[in-house]
Amino acid sequence: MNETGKNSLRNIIVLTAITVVAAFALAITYRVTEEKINDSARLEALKSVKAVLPKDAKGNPLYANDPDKLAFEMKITEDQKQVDPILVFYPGLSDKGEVIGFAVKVTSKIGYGGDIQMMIGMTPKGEILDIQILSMNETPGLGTKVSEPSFKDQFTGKSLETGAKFVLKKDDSSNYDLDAASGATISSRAITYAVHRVVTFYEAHKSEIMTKGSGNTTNPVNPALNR
Amino acid sequence: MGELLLLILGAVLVNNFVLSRFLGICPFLGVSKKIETATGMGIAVIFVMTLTSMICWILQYYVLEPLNLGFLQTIVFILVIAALVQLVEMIIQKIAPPLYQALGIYLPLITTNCAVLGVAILNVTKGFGFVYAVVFGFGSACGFTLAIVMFAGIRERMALGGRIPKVVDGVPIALITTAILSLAFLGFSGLVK
Amino acid sequence: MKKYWHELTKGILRENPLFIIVLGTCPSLAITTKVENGIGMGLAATFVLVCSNVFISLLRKIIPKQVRIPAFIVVIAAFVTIADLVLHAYAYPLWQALGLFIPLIVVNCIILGRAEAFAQSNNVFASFMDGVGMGLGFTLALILMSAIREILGNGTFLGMKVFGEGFDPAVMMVLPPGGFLTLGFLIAVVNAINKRMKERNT
Repeated sequence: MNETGKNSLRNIIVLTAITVVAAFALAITYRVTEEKINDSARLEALKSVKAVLPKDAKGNPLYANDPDKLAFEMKITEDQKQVDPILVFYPGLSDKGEVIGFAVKVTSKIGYGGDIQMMIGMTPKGEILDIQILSMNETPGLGTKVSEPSFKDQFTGKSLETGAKFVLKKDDSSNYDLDAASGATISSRAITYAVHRVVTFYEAHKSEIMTKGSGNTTNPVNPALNR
Repeated sequence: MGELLLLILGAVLVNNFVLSRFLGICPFLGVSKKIETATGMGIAVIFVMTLTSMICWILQYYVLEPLNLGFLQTIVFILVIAALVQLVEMIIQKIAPPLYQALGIYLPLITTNCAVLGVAILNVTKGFGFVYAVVFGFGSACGFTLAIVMFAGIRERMALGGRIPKVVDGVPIALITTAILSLAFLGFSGLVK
Repeated sequence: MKKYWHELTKGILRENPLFIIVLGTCPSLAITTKVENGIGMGLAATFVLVCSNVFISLLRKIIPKQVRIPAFIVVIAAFVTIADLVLHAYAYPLWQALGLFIPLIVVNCIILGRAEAFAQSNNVFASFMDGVGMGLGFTLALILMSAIREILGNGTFLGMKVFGEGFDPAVMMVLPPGGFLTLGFLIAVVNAINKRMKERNT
């Protein structure tokens, strides 16, 4: 083999050797981290569920199960474009297996910058406990104000049963019970509409949701899993 | 068809790769001194990015994922890009030697252009189908070209006229001008959902 | 010993990769909206830089000159993927915040630049120091940029409110124009300081 031939061969061998060693090292690293990676997305989702379900005075969750293991989906059948028709319910159960609350994941499609994904916590009576914004593309500093307590906390304690209307002052100044975040009318409307959708859906399908939520008693309820 | 046009519009104006996503800044600052060179670079990048979108998409969904080798994505993609850039270099050297001379070191540097690797990865994270991925690659490259040519126009003007203080001359004034361009492009937000 | 100290410190001021050599601009502009992101990215990039410098220096006599660039790229890409996997597993919120720019560390010109300019022609310990110094300089530059953008654009530093309730942040600072503005301004300042120091030395 002449000089250039030998050179090319050497180039190929060295390059291939380095690539193979690299691929090997990566495969090992992947093996080591694989489980943690799969867990991390799930744990992150669980965090928002935990944040909106009922808690005691110290902030510890009152539920005794693994809400995401008992999660179920329900579909809004009416034709509407403001909210993604799939709602995901995460039930929180006491250690006796009774439903003490639901975390509902809902996606509003009418945000200023597109979809707003939210987690809404409510009691079995349909009273709002808390709202967490999971993801949004709203204008930083303006639309993003809807994730601040000054806007969100307005929803806490409201329920259809006690006569809440879930209407913004901007939309009906004679018959409202919520104030939009200043400079964020569209974002505020998106959130308000989504919450209203969820509570009306819950009201209409309450018995079905409660049945699905308490599940069948063969589902394991693990009191130690309060992460 | 309409959706594809919206995709291009979004990639060029609303989420412009350079002015909004911060991808491709190094060549943007380096090759934008003259409109001609900027245009040449832009066309080379359009070629590379479109081909990259195609090849990397195929590799991701027909090789990496079926074999559960997703973690090799970075290595595979960047090697593909390096090879493609070599190819483009050879082509340009053959068919347009003066452009080859003008682009100089910046041609092989397309390999390290964040925009190229960026678009390959974005196509996967956004879950695009093949056609969407290629159109997105093409559109984003057009956005890059638009930004770099616009900027070259501004810089040529500035070199002719303005008396720029020594302290900000060069990179700083380029960045500050880009800030204004980027601010203008912010006005496009909300144009395409 | 003095030589090694020089390799370490040059990356911080005299040859700061971001402000003086102007490399690594893409991630600097994109993720410096919060100081914690700046720290995270800086440390990740430093990890990759140090590891790749060391490995490339170890292999410098074996890698043929003609295929050195692809060889460097494979080594760098491997370490970037390791950093990506580790962050994904053990620092999920940071991983989400840095997003696309973690794999983009592989095309961060600083790393390929140091491999080409230094690691392939110097011994392992010097390359290690060079990597640490450049990485540190890059991280400090990122922290400076994110501090300015976070304080002015969000009123916070590391998430803690800096000003009182009355402060209305200049939101633009955490948007793209603010990024370009901050970097341009900082480079101008560094240029001015350098000029001053050079004049004083002559």
